[in-house]
Amino acid sequence: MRDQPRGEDLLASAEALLRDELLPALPADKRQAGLMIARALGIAARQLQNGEAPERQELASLARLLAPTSETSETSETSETAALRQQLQRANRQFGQLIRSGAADAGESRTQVVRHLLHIARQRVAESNPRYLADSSR
Amino acid sequence: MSDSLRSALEVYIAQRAEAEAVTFSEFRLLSGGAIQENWLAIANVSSGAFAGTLELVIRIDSPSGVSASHGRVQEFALLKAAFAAGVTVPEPLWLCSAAQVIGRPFFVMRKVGGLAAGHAVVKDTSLGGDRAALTFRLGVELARIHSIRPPRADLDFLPSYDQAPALQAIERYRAFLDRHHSAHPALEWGLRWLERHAPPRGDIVLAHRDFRTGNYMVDAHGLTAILDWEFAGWSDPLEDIGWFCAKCWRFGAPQLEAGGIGARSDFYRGYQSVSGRAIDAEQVRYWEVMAHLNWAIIAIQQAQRHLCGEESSLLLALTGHSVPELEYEILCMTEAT
Repeated sequence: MRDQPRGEDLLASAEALLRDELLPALPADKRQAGLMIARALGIAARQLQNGEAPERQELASLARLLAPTSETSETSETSETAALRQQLQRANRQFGQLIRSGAADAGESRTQVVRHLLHIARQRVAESNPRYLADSSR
Repeated sequence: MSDSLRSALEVYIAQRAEAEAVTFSEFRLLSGGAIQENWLAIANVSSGAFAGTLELVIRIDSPSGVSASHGRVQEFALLKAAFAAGVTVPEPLWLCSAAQVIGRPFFVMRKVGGLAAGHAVVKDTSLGGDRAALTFRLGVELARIHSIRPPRADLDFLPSYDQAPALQAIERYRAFLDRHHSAHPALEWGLRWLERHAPPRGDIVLAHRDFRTGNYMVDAHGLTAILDWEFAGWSDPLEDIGWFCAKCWRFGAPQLEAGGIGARSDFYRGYQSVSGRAIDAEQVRYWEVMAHLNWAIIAIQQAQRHLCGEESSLLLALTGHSVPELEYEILCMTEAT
């Protein structure tokens, strides 16, 4: 078993130190680089923290939406990350085709598709730029 | 290399300026990329109509850019057309499309001072002069660009098409997504919405296609130049207005709906003062959705450049991570209709 603190804690502490002590001391022409590193550390920390759970949920939600034609029935059994990504990729490609065909233009399917897309988008923004959600207050 | 380039350019400029002699008191590379190099030259011109000191920027196709050998030629034609239409651009002086002079096509334009960086322009209000006047002025500039209409023999390299511009863009973005390794259902949703609400083909104008904060230069007094013409093409005039006003181009000042620098109404008034056409707010909103779609596709392409090893860069990598908020914005703008 690995020692504590774990990777996500290390990244979060590194980001805090960078923001609190290094960024204010950087010359103006290096500030942008410092900010980019802080942002990258933050994204990596939040991804580690969440692990595979969001992608597993996304796949399960897609399986329900694509149910009649689905090839993604064994979602919860998938153990390997690579296999999970591959399944997710395939399901999202199929889902994209369904949207493009107009099958989600109206009615109940539209409601469900929008709900799924908004949920996934919020989840991904919460990892990539949580302040954006707070600022747009939705 | 730099010395032989320098003397070849001195001879060329003397010839074009009809001067007995031209010598550069300063000659240095400003920026060099995969597509072009920019050189600064301070030229002392001995005689003729340009006698005196000429501050110039020389734009040269990159050595590697074999297929891009038309790049500078086209850009020069666009700058000429814009300059003639009264758009504030660096004055294009001479184009050399022949390979004999320095081995690559290049053109010479007057140097213009100022700063373009988007975040700096939005944050530092000592730049750009009075902000309401700057916002109005940008509307004026855009309307002047849009006064350039097809057919134009000098711009016949710009692809023409019979479709509605919106549908043409949708087709392009879908073709990219089909080739790309990852699926993006939220972008598919946005594209379907854009398809269902697409405006018919109306007036077709020269669209700048990257007219936004970050792509014009300002000094302490106001606007000095409209830059970055490489995406220009025939389109719906509202494409540029939507791009300029889209939330994703406000550089942290979302309340200033015109490019993060001013009020939408000032920008629209400037535009209307030259074009004489009223701007349909609902249609602009359509093109703002399109702007987010377009920027999301570009962001995916930028991240791909990092991923495939073409250009390893944290900036490009992080640009890929702005896709989720663009998708979220697209969904918020389209979920109700």
